[in-house]
Amino acid sequence: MIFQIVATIALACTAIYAYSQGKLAPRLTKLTILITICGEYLVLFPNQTTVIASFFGVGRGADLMFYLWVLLTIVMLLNVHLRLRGLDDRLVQLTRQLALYEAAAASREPGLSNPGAR
Amino acid sequence: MNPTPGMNPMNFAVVVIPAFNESALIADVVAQVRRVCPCVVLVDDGSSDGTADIARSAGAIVLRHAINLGQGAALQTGITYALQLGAKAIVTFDADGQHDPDDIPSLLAVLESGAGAALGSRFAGKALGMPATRRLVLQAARWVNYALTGVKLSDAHNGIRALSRDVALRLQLHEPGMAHATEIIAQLAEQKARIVEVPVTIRYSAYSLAKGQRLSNALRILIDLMMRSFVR
Repeated sequence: MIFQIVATIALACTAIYAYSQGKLAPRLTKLTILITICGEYLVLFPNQTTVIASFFGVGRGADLMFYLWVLLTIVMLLNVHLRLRGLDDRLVQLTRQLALYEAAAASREPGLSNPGAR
Repeated sequence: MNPTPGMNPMNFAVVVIPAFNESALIADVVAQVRRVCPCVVLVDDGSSDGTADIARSAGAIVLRHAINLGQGAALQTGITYALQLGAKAIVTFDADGQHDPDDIPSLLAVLESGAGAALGSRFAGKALGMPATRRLVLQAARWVNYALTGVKLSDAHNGIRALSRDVALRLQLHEPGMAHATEIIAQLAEQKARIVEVPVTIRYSAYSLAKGQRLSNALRILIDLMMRSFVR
């Protein structure tokens, strides 16, 4: 029972985190939430894992859980990658606005006709 | 701001040059371009070798990125600034000296005839000193561009091009790196802009080849484009 509680909390945290990232990568978020729901089902009904595992051609239920976990990790890694790209975009915007602001400020200064001059 | 006294700011073309650590040649490039088109906006993409100061001395308006972002980001910054200046046409031009400023008037003439974008083509024009591997990569890039954008061109990733104000206003480059060259074509196609290819001359030198894109970059550009389509 202890493991079930720990796993449920962990999966719930994962789902909440994925939900919070919904704007950045909606498709990934939906996929992650779906996987955590499947994971929770298997945590609550461990005997089902063997049934489902044999249906999918995996010998033991524990193996199926392991594969699911690997899949989830990959999805989360992708999510982090996409978040980094989003940050990159914002850095580009910020740097561009700074360059344009400096240019505008320089053009307003009398005697300084060349923006970017320091 | 009026960068060229006596000239109607609503009626001029602006040449945008993105540059990163190009101190060796940038003075010559800016001076040669200004002989043809006086208003040059150089976007210094976080150089550490004094590119900005040299370009400014050569007569360019200089914008500085505080950090290095990539050629695509620098181009978008330059285009945005050129539009703020009131540019009617925007010419993009590489900083490594491989383009010929004398090609600029023919690009602008195409815009005056009603085209939305005039794209330089080295394969319709001349590519002096081009290594065989570069030719091969560019031909492959042409087909990648065609597959991704639906626009069939005779050249790919050629930095010399001219955009009308209307087209430039609707352009929003998101690719900070070299994948912007494909992104521009894709956005032109989305806008249904009239694209005309113009024969240009590219002169490869030891310098431009060292500064230019390497074979390994081609794969990186492809991954950038695929990841971008995944995110959007």
